[in-house]
Amino acid sequence: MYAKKPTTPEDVIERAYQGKCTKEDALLLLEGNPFELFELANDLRATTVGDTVSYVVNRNIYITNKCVGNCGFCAYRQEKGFILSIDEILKQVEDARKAGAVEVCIQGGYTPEIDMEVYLEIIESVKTEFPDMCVHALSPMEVNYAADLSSMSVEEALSKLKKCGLDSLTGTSAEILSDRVRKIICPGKINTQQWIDTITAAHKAGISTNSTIMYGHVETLEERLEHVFIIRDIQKETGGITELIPMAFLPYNSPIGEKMLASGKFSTTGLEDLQLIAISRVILHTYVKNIQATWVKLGKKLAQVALQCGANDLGGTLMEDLISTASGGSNGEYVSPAEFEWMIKGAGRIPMQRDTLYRKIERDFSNKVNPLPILSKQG
Amino acid sequence: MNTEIPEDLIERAYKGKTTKEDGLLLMEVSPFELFRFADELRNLATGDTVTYVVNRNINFTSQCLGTCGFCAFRTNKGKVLSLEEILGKVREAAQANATEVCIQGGLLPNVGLDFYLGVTEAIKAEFPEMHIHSFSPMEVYHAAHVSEIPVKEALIKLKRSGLDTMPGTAAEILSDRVREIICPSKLKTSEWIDVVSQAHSVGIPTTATIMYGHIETLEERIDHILIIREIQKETGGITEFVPLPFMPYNNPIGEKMIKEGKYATPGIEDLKNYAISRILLHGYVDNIQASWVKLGKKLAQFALHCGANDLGGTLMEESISRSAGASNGEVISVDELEWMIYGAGRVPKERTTLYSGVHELTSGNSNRITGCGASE
Repeated sequence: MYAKKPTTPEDVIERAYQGKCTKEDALLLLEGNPFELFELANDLRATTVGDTVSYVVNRNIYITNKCVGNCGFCAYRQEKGFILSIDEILKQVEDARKAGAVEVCIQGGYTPEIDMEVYLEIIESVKTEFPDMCVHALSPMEVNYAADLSSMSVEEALSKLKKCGLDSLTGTSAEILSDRVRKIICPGKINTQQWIDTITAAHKAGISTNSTIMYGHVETLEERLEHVFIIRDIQKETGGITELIPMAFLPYNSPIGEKMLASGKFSTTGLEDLQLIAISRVILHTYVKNIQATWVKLGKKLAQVALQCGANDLGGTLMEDLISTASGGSNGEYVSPAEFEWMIKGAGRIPMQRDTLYRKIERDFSNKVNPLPILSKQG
Repeated sequence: MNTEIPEDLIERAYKGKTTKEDGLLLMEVSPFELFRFADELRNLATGDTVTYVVNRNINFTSQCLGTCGFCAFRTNKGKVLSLEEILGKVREAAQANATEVCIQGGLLPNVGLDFYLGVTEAIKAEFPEMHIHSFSPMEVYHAAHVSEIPVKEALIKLKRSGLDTMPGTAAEILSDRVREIICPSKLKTSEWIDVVSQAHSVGIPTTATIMYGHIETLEERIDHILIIREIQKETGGITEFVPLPFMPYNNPIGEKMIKEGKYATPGIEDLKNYAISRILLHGYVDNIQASWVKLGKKLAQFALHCGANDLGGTLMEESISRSAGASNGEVISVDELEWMIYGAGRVPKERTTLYSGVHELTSGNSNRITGCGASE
């Protein structure tokens, strides 16, 4: 006869509550019954952030698709691509503001045409014209590359970005924080230590960052876990990380992905995605409050399920996500605030619109359906 | 929210005697409790094997006399595939090692049973081994009416012409209140039950479906599942139950929902529906299918932990969900299905339409790591 028999050892659960989950604990939780892991993560989520589930009305803006990088997982880079002018960027920010966006996420490839002066001008122009818009921009990789072009230190570059008004640096280009993995998938990118140093320096310069992990390619399970522990260590030291976004690798149209597909390996499965969200919540408990389930990678339905497995944020409305689309993402490029609220209420939670720094936005979107009808195309 | 499932409910579930009240109560228990219990019953019913079928959908026309408000596929002047074109598609399916073709289409004016018999006869003449899983209860009902013969006679003729099984589509929600709103010109609840039961009686097994997440109440969903259980008690002719979430794009019912701030069922609701189906049908219908076309591959895989034991077909083409906003693709490879199944810690097996003659397929993936499985 069916009976619930908990199998997770008491001390593992105790350490999780104290924010002292070890690598062995994490491995044990992943080997156990997935529902026990999800329940633990869900309880820790409730303890930390309660029943509120947040999302941000934002827009991705891609400065350029040109890139001197050689990342084998990328399906976005072009040899002869575009570079947006300042005016074009401002036009996109203007469109975003009209649609109610409180954040613009500005990123792109790294290329010799774009040095620190260009980035500084972009940030300054956006902030001058739209002082209330949260500017969440650039990756540690872009800052390192451009600082080098402009012959300045990363610290100097970050301090100038801060002065220009950068609110938050994106924690992308983290991929998997293991030099073994980075040599295979992104040999031209900054190494693990450089990524850590850049993020830490940003925090010390007063710039928040988020953090990411792109998993499901050549890394081992242990390397995934080590990555999350690195994030915890950074946060212990600086407290500057707003959230972790686990991002499942999409294996289409890139050399790494094609190699995987040819050897009979596909995208991470739904179970695996939920397990990583849950274990991230457990490992980061008491340190990083917010775990994001990204609908672009997971699909809306699974992202909503992730809210029961440790996640407390659904990310952004986005409006355009050229990078996931290039890699075979088929979940659309825009979710309306009304649909976010539907998903969140369907999970029995309370929706909250936030800005980049998880500050509550006082605005009622519940009766405002499809503010961007032109972008709500499906299929 | 109750965190525990009451003991007496669990006992009734094991005996296949859950009630409507039990079903409604299960909607309220914590989802993980529900999933774990459904997973336990799945394990009892079908063990660790997860099945799929290599098949092809063939939609021979989008033209339809119907007026269903949930449909985004229907057209007034759509092309009708010729017999030769249908055979061409079956030929491609045979070359791709499909064991089943699933042929369905809209309701054409003045097209009676002879058309349908012609299709099955032609396919069986050229591909005697191909399993023909075709024609919804609505199509059979329509064809019988146009030909002015009783449904049972139509079914007997279809059986003789080579029809192996029928999809249990056109069920939508088996409630006349709901049908009046979403598909007023379709056959009524009792007529659907009649067509399906008579098909079983002449030796044509069927699947059963539910299309949920539009205007129906939770109670109507439960009633639907219990109707399926009653049919199965009587005939034993149902091979599997396939819950299908409604896709609210490009159709009048969906557009009205979206205007009111209602969207596709969220993932948790889909999973609860699978779990409750498993529990209510325990002892009667062993196979619960998770449809990757509707759920997406990732959620369909997770549904294997919530009561489902089958991932459906490779399909090769799929037009109906796609026109209603599904973006999960039209084809999935055997390799990818097996990848998903191994990732759930289960054992993949290719099956036939009838879930018999299931054989292990050697796609070379049998040494896959299981569990949380980071790729090496």
